[in-house]
Amino acid sequence: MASPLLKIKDLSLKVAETKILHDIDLQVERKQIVGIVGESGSGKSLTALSVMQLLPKVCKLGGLIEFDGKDLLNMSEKSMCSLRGNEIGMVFQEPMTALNPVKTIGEQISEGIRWHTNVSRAEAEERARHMLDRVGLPSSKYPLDRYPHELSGGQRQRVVIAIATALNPKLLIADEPTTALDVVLQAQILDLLKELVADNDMALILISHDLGVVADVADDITVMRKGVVEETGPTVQVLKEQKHPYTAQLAKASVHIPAWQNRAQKPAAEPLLQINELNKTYNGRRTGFVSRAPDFTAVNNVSFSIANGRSVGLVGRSGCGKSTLARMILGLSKPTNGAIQFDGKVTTDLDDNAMRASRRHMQVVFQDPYGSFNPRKTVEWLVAEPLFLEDENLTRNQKRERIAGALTEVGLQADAMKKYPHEFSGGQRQRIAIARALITRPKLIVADEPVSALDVSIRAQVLDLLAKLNDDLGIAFLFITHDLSVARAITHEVMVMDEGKIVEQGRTADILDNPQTQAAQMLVDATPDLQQAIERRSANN
Amino acid sequence: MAYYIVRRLLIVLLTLWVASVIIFAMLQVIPGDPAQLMLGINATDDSIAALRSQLGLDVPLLQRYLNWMSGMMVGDFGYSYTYGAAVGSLIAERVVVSLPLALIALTLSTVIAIPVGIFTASRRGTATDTTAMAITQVGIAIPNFWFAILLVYIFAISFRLVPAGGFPGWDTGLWPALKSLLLPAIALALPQAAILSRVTRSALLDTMAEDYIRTARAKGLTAQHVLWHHALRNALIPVLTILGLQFAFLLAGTIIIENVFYLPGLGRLVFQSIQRLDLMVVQSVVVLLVASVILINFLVDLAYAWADPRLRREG
Repeated sequence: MASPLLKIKDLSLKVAETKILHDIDLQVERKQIVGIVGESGSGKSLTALSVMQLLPKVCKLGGLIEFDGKDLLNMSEKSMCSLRGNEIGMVFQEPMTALNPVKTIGEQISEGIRWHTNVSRAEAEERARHMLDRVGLPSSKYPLDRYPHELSGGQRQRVVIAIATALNPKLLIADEPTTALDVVLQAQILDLLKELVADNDMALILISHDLGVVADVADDITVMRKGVVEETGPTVQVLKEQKHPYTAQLAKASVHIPAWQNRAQKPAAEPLLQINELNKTYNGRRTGFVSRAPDFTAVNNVSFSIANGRSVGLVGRSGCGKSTLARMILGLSKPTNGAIQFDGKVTTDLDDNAMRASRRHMQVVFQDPYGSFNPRKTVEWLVAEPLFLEDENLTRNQKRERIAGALTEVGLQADAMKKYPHEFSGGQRQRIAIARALITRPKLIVADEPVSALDVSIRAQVLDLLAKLNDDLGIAFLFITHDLSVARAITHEVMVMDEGKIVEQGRTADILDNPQTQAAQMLVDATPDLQQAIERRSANN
Repeated sequence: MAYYIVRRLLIVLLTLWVASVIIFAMLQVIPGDPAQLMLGINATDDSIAALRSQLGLDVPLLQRYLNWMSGMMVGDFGYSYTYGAAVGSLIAERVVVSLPLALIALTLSTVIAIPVGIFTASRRGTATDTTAMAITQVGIAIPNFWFAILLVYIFAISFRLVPAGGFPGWDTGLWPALKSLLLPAIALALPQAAILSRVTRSALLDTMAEDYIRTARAKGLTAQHVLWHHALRNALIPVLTILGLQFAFLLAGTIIIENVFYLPGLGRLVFQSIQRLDLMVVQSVVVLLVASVILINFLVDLAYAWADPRLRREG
């Protein structure tokens, strides 16, 4: 049997005296797709960067990495440079920052071609144009002189893929290539990667935290945790049998549905939040002295209501206007026209002072548990912040009690208030964010992608917590998400938003099982479904 | 792009106008009557009144401002009685010293700082880097007038390579004139270069940690190539900002340095005029200095747009 294209044996990685990767074994055959799955900190990205030899200098590697018969760990930097981009290409997670903002996409694609092949500039540009066509950015619409900022996230990821595959490498490494994209784009990019790999006889290492993504694509799968390979084998077998307890745990967490009693409750008569014909229009940007791009309507004539204690999902692709809508509800941005009525008051006419009472009853949890806290403040200060919205002045002890209460409610110890945000994990921080939202006893919490930055097992816990808060405290939720599995897990109703409009709304199960509009259909189809993927793949085998 | 430039230009004009109003107003509230001061305490009320009307001080404030502005538009900066000369010609004489001095200093500081920044950034953590950064630390800490005196002591007095002070005039030839500007320019430039090289270094290091640098490395480009072709232009944006800000400090520095080196420049002119309460001169020179700072920052704005295509499309 021929030797594998990539062979990793007993790979270890140390930073100072701390071992981060432990005896990693991994094999990739020619033309094979290997999925690496793991939660954050599992070492899956570091393994990929070890193959590329692009680790920070403090990392010390041991063991063996053999690519196409060559020993990469003992290779000179010069030979590595001629390998990178030429025989091994890599695609990264964050398309918004993966391209140099001051260089055109044409320069960035043709640069690698010229570096490795010595072809003329004109020929390299011709090949760059061809690559753009190939990744779905036809050069008639996306000429080479476009800058990255003129493209959307999905388009930029296509450019990164064009760069990585321009020289037809033997191995493509894609590190969470779709995590930052919405589900529809994710499906498109995964299809593109599959096509490229099949057409050009490439092997692919697909790294993801999402079992559903890998299940659909990979021939073999490797499950990692904390720098150790837990299990490896053919994808269908590994995921169907789920012999390894950690694999089983991951699979279970990724389809987790919280125990939630409130599911069938009837909506109350009086709506808590009532949105009437809400619009938000942004002026087009200037294109000359008098000319402007056409105005952009981010939210277009949206009306809906949320009853007390109900949990409502707002789903849609990125850029569909869901965050703009949320900002208007929270009073963070003024609608162009239309009315928002909350708790019996029309908040759209209120000034900041008059908004206080409404703000107290309406809190928010954001997506990023890292960026939404001031790192120099203690948890006590952070959680207590919304208390200024209370009418009465609380004493220090009363405040402490409220903080301790909120922290206990979200499953943290009361003495967590003495610590700083960096002392907590991502999941714990999201609990702190929820505690901060809870402290004023709100009637509505607007949660903007509250679990999409979290690992699946933590995500399951946070979903449980949110379900419990809805059950125990009767808090209404507006969940903004592009992830239908979140909507399915924890909402009574769901609204599908597309290009500023709400195109479909109704009971969650009805909409998700039987979408009527094309927008909803696309979302449902694109959402990775682990169970379905396993069934489909085993049927094919 | 055209829109961007025109918009910046309008901002330049607006800033200039606001600055002229502020300068004019500030000089009005300075205590002391210039006519009185010029004629001494024994002057009669009549002669003071006569001089006031000659200086144009007897008309209402707004009229005085308009006269001053409309005069400057046509190059008439007024007449200085303490110097007994037109302010315009006083300034013209001085500009030929101060402008070359500032430009040489600015060029010198850029030419030193950017290579040092690139060099140290590409050798981060090595002994070279640490030593260079320690030197820049000292450079920032040393006041430029003290450094100027040190330079004079070494190069003018000990080695007699350049004159210790004074300016022979451009008509004595390019080299003698340049020679007398050399030490003051170095004294002005080095502390600025120290700051600028640290900024360049840290901007480059920040840029080298960006995702797109990793993308470029994954293409197979060498670390050096990535530094020059991908990181540098991105890192220039904060460097340009500091450069624009430094120019104002450079002009302020010339006032001190010109006094140390007895250079007949604008700095000395404004310093002496303030002492003599020669408002006409002070007003005009300060407006000129402000205008040059605004102009440099306009050029910095243009350089931003060159460095960063994202700025070109927005207003």
